Amino acid sequence: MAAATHEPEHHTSTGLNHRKLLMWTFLGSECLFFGSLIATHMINRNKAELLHGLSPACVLDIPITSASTFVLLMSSVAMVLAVAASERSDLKQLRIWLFSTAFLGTIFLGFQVYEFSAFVNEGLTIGTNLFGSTFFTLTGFHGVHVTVGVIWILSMLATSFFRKDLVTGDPLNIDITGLYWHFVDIVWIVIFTVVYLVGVFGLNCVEAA
Amino acid sequence: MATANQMLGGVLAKRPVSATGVMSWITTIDHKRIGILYGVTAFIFFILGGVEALLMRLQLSSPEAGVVSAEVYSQMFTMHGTTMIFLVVMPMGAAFFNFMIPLMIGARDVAFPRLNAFSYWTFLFGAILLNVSFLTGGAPNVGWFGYSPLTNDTFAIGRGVDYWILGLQVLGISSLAAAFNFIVTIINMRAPGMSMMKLPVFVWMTLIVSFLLVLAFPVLTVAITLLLFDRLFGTAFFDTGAGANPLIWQHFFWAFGHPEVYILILPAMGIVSEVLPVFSKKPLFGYTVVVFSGVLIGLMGWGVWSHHMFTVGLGPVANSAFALITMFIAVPTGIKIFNWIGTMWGGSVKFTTAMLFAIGFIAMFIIGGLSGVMHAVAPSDTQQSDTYFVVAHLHYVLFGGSILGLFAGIYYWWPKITGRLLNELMGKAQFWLFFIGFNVTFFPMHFLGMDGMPRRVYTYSADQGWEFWNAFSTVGVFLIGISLILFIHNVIHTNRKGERAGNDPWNGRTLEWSIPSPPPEYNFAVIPTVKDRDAYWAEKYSEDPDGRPIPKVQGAAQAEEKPVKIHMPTPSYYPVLLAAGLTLIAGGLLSHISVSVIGGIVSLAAIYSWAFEPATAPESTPSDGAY
Amino acid sequence: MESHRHPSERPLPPISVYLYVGAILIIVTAVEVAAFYLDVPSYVLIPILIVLSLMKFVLVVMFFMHLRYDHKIFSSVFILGLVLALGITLGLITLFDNFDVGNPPVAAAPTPIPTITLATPAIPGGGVDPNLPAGAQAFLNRGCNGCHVIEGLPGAVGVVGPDLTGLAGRAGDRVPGLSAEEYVRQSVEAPQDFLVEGYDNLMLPLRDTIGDEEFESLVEYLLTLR
Repeated sequence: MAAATHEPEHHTSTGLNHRKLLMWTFLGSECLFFGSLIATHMINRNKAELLHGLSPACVLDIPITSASTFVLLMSSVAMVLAVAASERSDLKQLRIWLFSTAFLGTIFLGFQVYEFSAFVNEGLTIGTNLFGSTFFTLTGFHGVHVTVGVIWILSMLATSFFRKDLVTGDPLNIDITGLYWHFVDIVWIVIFTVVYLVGVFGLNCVEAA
Repeated sequence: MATANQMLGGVLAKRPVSATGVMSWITTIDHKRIGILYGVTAFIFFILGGVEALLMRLQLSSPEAGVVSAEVYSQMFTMHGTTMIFLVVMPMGAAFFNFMIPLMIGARDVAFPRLNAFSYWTFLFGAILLNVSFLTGGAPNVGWFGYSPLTNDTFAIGRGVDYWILGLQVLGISSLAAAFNFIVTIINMRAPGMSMMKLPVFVWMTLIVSFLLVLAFPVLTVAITLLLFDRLFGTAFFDTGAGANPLIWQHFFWAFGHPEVYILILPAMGIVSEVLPVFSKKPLFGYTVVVFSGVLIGLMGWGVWSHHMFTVGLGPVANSAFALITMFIAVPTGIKIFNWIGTMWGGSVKFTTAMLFAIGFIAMFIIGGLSGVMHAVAPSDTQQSDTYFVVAHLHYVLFGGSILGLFAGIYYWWPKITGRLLNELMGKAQFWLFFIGFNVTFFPMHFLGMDGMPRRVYTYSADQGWEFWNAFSTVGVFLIGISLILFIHNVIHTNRKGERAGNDPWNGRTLEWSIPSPPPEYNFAVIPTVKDRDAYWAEKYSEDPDGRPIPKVQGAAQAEEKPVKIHMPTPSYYPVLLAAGLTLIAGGLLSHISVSVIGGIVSLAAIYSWAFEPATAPESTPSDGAY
Repeated sequence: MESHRHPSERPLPPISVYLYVGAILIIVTAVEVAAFYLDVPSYVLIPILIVLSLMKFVLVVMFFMHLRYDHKIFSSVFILGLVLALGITLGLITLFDNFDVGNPPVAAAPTPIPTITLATPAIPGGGVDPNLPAGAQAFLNRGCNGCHVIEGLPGAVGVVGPDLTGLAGRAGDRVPGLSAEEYVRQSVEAPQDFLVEGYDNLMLPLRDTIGDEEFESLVEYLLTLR
């Protein structure tokens, strides 16, 4: 059935779908985007105490972030189950897992909002010092990606009600959404290790004058 | 299903239908029309960038001249650099990518026709946004690579730098969208039988350039985003007072900037690799080597960025490492030059205007390449850094290289694009004026640089001994100007009275010459099947035992009439709407936040409408590929 | 419904594989966090953390994003971006950590540095006078002269920072409780701590980039300015 309705798209030299190839190239490009942001953070990570104290060790909360990391990993599991459901054209399962993914993604964003406001209360804003600048920019851009992902997934969920054919007839629509979502997850895996665990380990909170 | 499509496809408006008139150009998704739009726009900006250059040359033509003030001069060199790179050479390359790639690989359009239209409109709006700064109190004046901390709000007062940042952001979106499109098109839409090693070299170079764009632009995006945050939100990325090291800017900028250099030159190399075989009546010498040296240049281009920074004090180890890789990158570049010369060697060379430009490209690129190798020697670069010697080098590569190569492409493909030949006599006169004017303008800059004249100074005193070569150089600009007027005259003249080109005026080798000029909307009535590298040549000629071409007896002519049913993608409003929305978001950051909010709403509406609009309108086919 | 998969692509795994991978991801994250709280030296912990997170990264990409099953072109375009991103990130970190920028090699006996002919050479004579005290040479070599005036020192002409002429005479009175030497030391080490009225916080904290010997000679020299 899919072959019949999507005949023009199937005629490619490699036999691969245009949009899926586009998404993977886009993710390759995104690697350099986040790579540059992480490099900025790494270069400047020890320069927080130069101005207004509040270095990573003073504010980063490992237990809370471990919890939010757990939530994001779970959302990835939910997403892959949604992709599998769409492969089977199982509309009911698809809706359940899409909703779960978006729900868990929203909880992750909730954690991030909580974390950001806690930092601001402690006196660390994007303009306080270099750590504040790199931290809020890096995790903020990740948060924007998560937000876009949640909106995308909710849009697919809505589509599954009024244009069933788009999500069951062509599993690629969910597949590509999934690729984006998992990418956001692996970026967080790197950020959690590099910024949080390695970034704080062995450092004591020393507030400069 | 069709009714559902009509309902959802027309979320904002009915599908555009007009086939002629302004509206048809605004909503077009035909790669050929988009290519023409790119070319015309880029040429207009070429004139604008040229006027900026002319003002600078007039100011420098005599010591302590008063043509422009120091402030205006700074704006001129910043906008000249930014314009020529982002608004001329890149989109001129994009014009050829758009028009030619589908024709050369035997496809009916690009992989994502609406994304293609979106790229063009985003480019146009971004370019306008950048140039609006002239009208709103001062263009950027910090140089095209905007070194921090000069760009911090402490030193760059006013909004010029903000316009520069946001203009580049919008242009970056355009370049990225176009590059994704061409990667997928080239990998996925080749005609049956056209394996990767049968691709024309121009297509290969486009693929490499697209990958460089996709991978290098995010680095620039990050750099200018950090700078924007510094200026708008008070972050500390480049604030030395907060302990930041502003050199991070230079590293990011050149980590993007050096691949960018290859983004600018590889399309010209691709064009020359198409033009030389056709007018030498020989296949390209060492096709495989040319392709792989291109790939190698693309990869090595990532490891040389710090050769722009030899004088900032990275220390001997880092300097030596980058100097070494930079010298190595001259090897694949040099190999290409030998291949081009080898292509002409022993061929029956026909000196058409396109061929003259291609040979001019090789000669000028050798000079630019050699002065480049001089820069690779770090101690020598210490002498030359920030002098007119560097200005001479980069113009030999980008003007003598890229622009000459692009003009070769214009003369070569003009008959395919318009159906009429440009006048060869005027063309040759234009080439010689252009070539001589270019050398008169830029060769003396080597002397000035060696004599210590720093770049970006708005004037100099009479006792420096620089006035003769500066005056000499300014004369050259007028020769270039006259040659461009001749070109415009040639275009207008032949547009009405030019000789009809026919399908194949040059006895071409690649598939675009097998179809009518200008090509029909659907390009190929029957998608060709490719068996050989020079696909169309192999259709026309076989070889005798010594490798000499023998014309084949022409078989049944291909069916020229439009076959029964070819589904072409339907025009759409949403690409231009989304481009406008994104530009409004950027513009709002410069004026009032409400503009950004409106832009955001427009963008969202456009994205959703686009997503549910079928690529091909339901009236012509029941297919419903979303996106 | 497998019609959209390429003939060369392997069939997708059963759901149980996804659940196993999900469980491994959670366990690895738990191990990471636990290791973080254990009292192990950083040269052990940091490699462990990096290996573990790399493992999670690879698992998600291979199984959830199907690269293990999908066509190799998808892997290629992604890995190309990934490798370049890694290269640039590591390259930059190495450049900034090991080749401290702004730290040009210092010759044991400074010889006059040839300069490009400029309209007005920054330092008359074109190089640092080897007969000057070591601290004064440091002052010039490090470019301090670009921002500070010291009367009697050729080339010390900048006006961005405060005039340092006679610094030693007033340094002791600037901050209560700090001797002249303590004040000068801290001013070089942490320029933002004591700002002179009317001047912005613009000075680079150069202490990290110059050697101890050079720093001591600079402080010694500044304390001779009476």
